Amino acid sequence: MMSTPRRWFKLFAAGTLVSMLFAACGAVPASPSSSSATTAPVDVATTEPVDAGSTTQEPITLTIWAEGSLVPVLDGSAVTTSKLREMAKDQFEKEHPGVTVVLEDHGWDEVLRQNLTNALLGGTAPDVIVGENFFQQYAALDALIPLDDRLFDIKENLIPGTYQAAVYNGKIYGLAAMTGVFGFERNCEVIQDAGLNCDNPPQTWDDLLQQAKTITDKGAGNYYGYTLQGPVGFSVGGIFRVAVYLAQADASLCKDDCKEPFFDNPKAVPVLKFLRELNKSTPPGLTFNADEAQVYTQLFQNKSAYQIAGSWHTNWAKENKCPDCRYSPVPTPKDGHPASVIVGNVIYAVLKESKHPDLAAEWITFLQRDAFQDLIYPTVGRLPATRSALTKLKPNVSEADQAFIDVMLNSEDLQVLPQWQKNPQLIWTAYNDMLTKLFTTDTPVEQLMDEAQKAAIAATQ
Amino acid sequence: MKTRSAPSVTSPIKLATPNRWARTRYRHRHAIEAWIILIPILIYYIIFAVIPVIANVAISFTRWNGINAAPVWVGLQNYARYLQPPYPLILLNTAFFAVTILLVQTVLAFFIALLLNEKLFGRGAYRALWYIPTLTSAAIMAQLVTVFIAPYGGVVNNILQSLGRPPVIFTISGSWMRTVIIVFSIWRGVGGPVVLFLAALQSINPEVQEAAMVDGAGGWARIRTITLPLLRPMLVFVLVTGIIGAFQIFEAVQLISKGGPFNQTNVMLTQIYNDAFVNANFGVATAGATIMGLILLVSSYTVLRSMREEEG
Repeated sequence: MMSTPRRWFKLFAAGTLVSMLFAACGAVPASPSSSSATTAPVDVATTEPVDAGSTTQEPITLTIWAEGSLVPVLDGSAVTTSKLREMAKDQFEKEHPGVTVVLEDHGWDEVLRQNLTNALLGGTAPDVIVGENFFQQYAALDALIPLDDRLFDIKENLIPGTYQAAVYNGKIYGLAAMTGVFGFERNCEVIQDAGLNCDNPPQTWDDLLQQAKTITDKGAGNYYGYTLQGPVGFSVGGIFRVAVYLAQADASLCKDDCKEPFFDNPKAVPVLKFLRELNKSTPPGLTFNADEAQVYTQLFQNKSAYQIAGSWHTNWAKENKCPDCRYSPVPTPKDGHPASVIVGNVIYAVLKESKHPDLAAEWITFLQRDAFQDLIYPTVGRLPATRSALTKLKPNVSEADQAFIDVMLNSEDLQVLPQWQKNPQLIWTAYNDMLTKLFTTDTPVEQLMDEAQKAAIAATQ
Repeated sequence: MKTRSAPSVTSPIKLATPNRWARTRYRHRHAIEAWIILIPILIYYIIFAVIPVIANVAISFTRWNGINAAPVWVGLQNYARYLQPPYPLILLNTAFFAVTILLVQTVLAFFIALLLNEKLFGRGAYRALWYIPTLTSAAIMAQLVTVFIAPYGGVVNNILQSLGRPPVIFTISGSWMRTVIIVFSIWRGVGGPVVLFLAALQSINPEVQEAAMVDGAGGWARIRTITLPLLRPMLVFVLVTGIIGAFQIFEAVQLISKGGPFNQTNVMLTQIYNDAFVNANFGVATAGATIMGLILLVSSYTVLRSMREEEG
């Protein structure tokens, strides 16, 4: 027969296990701001008391997944914040008593997409999301709220290219808080060393090819004529730059309202042939380097003469002590026209799952105000997304930055990269595979394009 | 004074008989104790392992984006997707990597364990050295590899260029990237089997080896006739766990080659990840996970059975 102490021990053990089980089942679920963040949010949501003068309104927490410049940074025990964040958060809360804005950084690109998917699956999605190139896909899945009926007062001040990436079926689902555009960058020290005149940058593709070849020949392995960011996996970094040249030749990457890939567009043939030639004047191996920063800093280090540059390159060149970097519009093809592609776009959109959709939409239009837009360039060195802010900024910046602002304000053809609604990873892999063969084989361009188109269409099935 | 009278035949002592429930409880007391202890962990296992597997299989028969809207039944459509490019190549890559890594790693681990079992000066340090890659973060090791094989400014290409040779762009060569993935995976994974084989070798009675030596058996003969048979149970364990690990290759591809070039290093887990989080296609992703599960089940069973048949 069981001894009494042993029996009491077993009862105690069983009771402990059962109570642990109940405790686990009854645990309070983690707060949305901490459950899915890759970077722990610093701004702990402390609900402010309801304004005494307001009606009986529950305190509201508006959760916004924001781009890094809006999120405070922990430095030891101190929290570093920016004027941009202070203006955005504090001013919005001042105008909306009882509302607490929680800004969270959940990474960018692939990391952001994964965190967003996890949050949606786990029911902890925010009110407002941020990103660059998945909004059409999400809009097609009916996951976003259109903003058109809130834009009447401000639409004229918006630059269509900046929100084009969030337009689906004619409706606008997101607006850019800050943006960027491509221009052309040159290292005058390299160009002059090769015996060319840096005051006359190449105006056409033929000029560029010739100059790049001359510089490469003169460089004898010490420097080259061009830096070309090439294909890596399904990354679109290199494709963004290729898209600038495609836009100049009206060689769209998509058709049927941009729902289907058009990788065998006949207009793209001369573009790809041009790029194949241009690649011969690049540092060996650099085109396939996966590190985008390393690719573009070669020019700052006098290893190459020309490259397509995002508008943030002006500050980047200074930070990297480029001896003499200058900027101009991208050279155009013989029968083409100036064009550029929006890049570095920070778009905010409202999720349909938002608990406070009206307030969330107000936040997005709030970011279009001059008071916020005027702080963008001085605070983070990026371009504002509205006409009025760009116009005010232009006289106060360097010639280099003025060149980019001119493109933003005056370009009639500001394009965005297509956003595939189905299997974007497989489609962009097909395009990058084509670019890889373009730069490493002599296979006819038309054949490569056909193969890419077949693979891309198969991916859309 | 009342005295107790002895019990008579007609009035036997009536002992307190327990009821049926108490009898059952007593008879099965050990099983009851075991269940009480096991139930919490079983509940945890059911919630976090069994239910997700069932949900995974169920979702694999639907079209679902994971973002909104309910899953829509599509039958075997997601599985049929695995018959269309590039999925057959991805399946082939996975099998190729799994078999190659498993075989090379197991053989290498065995011979390393044999060497580490010898009385060498500093063998403790050697043993630690072989295990360090297993403990090191895959991300850090992958970063090291990319620094070595970077097409521009990489260590290998810098050496080649200093010797007057042209750079090698490893990332556009399927053969090179497959080799890199295999070497990386073996480098990272060989430590575990080495430790297991070493433990098994140390459990072999040295007198058996000595007796064989006295009988004139050479080194290789002793390995073949004594060491390997005695190591069989551990070998089965290493092969079965190795298969499961080898088929689940992910970090090497995700961090080094990203599946390229031309999907030649793309494997099941990276494609499942991309289908779920990039393509928002949970139906195809879960179908892939189910296929992986079945492959692992069949492979593990095949290895176990063939080893047992050889024993029998």
